Amino acid sequence: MINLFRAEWVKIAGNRWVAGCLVWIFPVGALAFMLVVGVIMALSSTAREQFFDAPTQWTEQAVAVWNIPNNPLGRLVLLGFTAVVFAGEYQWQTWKNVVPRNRRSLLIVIKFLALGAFIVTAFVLMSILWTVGTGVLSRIAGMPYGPTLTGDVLADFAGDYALAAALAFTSTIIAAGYAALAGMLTRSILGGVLVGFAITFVENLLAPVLALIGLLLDIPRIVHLYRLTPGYNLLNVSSWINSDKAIEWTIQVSDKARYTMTDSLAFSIFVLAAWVVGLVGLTIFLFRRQDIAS
Amino acid sequence: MTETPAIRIDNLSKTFGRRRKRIEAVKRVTLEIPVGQVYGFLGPNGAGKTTTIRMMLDLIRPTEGDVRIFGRHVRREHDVLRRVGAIVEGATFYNFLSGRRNLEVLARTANDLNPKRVDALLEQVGLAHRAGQRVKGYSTGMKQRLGLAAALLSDPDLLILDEPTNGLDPEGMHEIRQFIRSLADDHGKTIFLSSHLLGEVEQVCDRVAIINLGEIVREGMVSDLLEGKARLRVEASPLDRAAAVLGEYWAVSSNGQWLTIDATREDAPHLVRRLVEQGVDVYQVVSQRQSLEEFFLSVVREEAGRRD
Ligand SMILES: Nc1ncnc2c1ncn2[C@@H]1O[C@H](COP(=O)(O)OP(=O)(O)OP(=O)(O)O)[C@@H](O)[C@H]1O
Ligand SMILES: [Mg+2]
Repeated sequence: MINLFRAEWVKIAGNRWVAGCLVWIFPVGALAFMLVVGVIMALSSTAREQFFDAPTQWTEQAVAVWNIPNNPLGRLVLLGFTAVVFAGEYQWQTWKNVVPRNRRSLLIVIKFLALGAFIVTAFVLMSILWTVGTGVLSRIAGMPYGPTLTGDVLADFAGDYALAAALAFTSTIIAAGYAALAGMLTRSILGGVLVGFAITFVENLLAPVLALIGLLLDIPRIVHLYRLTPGYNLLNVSSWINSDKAIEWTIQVSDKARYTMTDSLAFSIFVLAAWVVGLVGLTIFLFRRQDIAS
Repeated sequence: MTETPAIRIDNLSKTFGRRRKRIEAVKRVTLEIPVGQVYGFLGPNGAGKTTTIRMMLDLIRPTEGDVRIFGRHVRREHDVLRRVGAIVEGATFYNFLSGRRNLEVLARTANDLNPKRVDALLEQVGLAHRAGQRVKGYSTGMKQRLGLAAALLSDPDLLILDEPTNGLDPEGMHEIRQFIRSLADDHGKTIFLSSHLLGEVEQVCDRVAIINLGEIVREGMVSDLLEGKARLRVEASPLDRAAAVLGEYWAVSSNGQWLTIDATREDAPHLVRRLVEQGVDVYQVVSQRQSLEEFFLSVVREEAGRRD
């Protein structure tokens, strides 16, 4: 198991060009940003005064970084990345080396896990760089950078941080699920990326599409289906972590029908868990039946 | 009790596509390969060799039939494939990793990484000096060698090699064939190798199955398949008289210069005596052993003829 995981990890990280452009760019970009801003602030007093309009807190900064893999744009990047990892095995014709030595379901599960772990590692790194960097900048600007570390603060922070990381992991698994299905279908990286994007696109467009259907069929309540999409729930959990309240999503179907969705944290976690189980399960089911020939 | 065969294939068939696009790539193939042999799987392009091998490795599901390796059903007892090393349809790797890294990844995938063994194998296939380079920069022959190293990683009891010398230069081919032979002779491994190169099969294999259009058309020891296919070429004068004399005993054909007779080397003295007794001058008697190549071509043509 450990060996299999490490093999997957080497394959993911060893594809340096892809991992660099789609994953490492975040921590590296954060570092570069901090350096540039730091230099500017060191040189210019106006920048020192204007960069922060209010003091910021390290607890917020560290958690805010995790919004990247959970928002629609970040999810597209994850999708591109995971598509290369899954569809690559088809395009490079490497499944045939790997599949006979293992159970297919185990292979797929470990691939999902390694991908999730890889993304989480990259963003842990980024959050450290970002939090420390913001601290340095605050000091240069002469701003306080609280809160002071107490047991309560730490417990609260650790909870939020773990939840944010778990959410990014979940987001990666869901993106990887789309990517795996698209990759299995098209058996090429480009095809996997395009079909994966298309699925994500449809998911994001679902709200207006449902509204239209609701209007045409005169069942406006159908827009509530939007609450079952991964995208909505990822944003909702993010919102609960960052501001302790539900995201409020209002859809206007017609003059009379206007729906505001607010969902609990538990609801969203449940829906996301269902997506993870469903997508991974479907991937395993299809992969077990698939012919490996190309 | 007889020993469990290394491979047992029963009534194996694979059909691709539906309706009009239907291709019966493999049709009711039945084979048994004993432990310790080098077994050749010979057939022209598109005969169904790779498709059969993919089914042996549980990469694709048979439409019908079963494959057992060391007595275990490959679909139901997939784990038996850990005792098998394979190259399927040319060796392919993760181009962005080095040769050594690729082997390490495959070894870890099989849950048994032994860095010393990786080094030894790289040495054995003659890649040690290039092992740190990315596979992207490898030639076809180098990839093929790396493929062989990958197939041997887990020290398998059975090797299934799909056209193992593809892309190698003549020297490389010779080297790899010797290597394959020694794996069987010195290390007791069973080797199933597909090829469309008849000379290759003739040189390294103990037994051979010939597949054409998805069907096994001949199967047996290489030497047995060729036996009875020997011919004698006779130059004698007068030729028509010689033909008449020999025609009483053997099948004879003439091209105006010499006679070709379906007879073995052992028949030669008898044949010469007959001719001399009848006053025919004998200039030359040459024994012509039909090569596997001719045999193969004749078998394939025969099959094509039956089909028309
Ligand atoms: N995935 C597939 N889908 C449809 N047809 C296929 C597929 N794989 C193989 N075939 C067909 O099955 C037949 C046998 O192909 P196969 O690759 O087994 O031949 P082969 O004996 O390995 O030939 P070669 O010497 O060229 O490698 C061919 O007609 C081929 O077109
Ligand atoms: Mg082939």
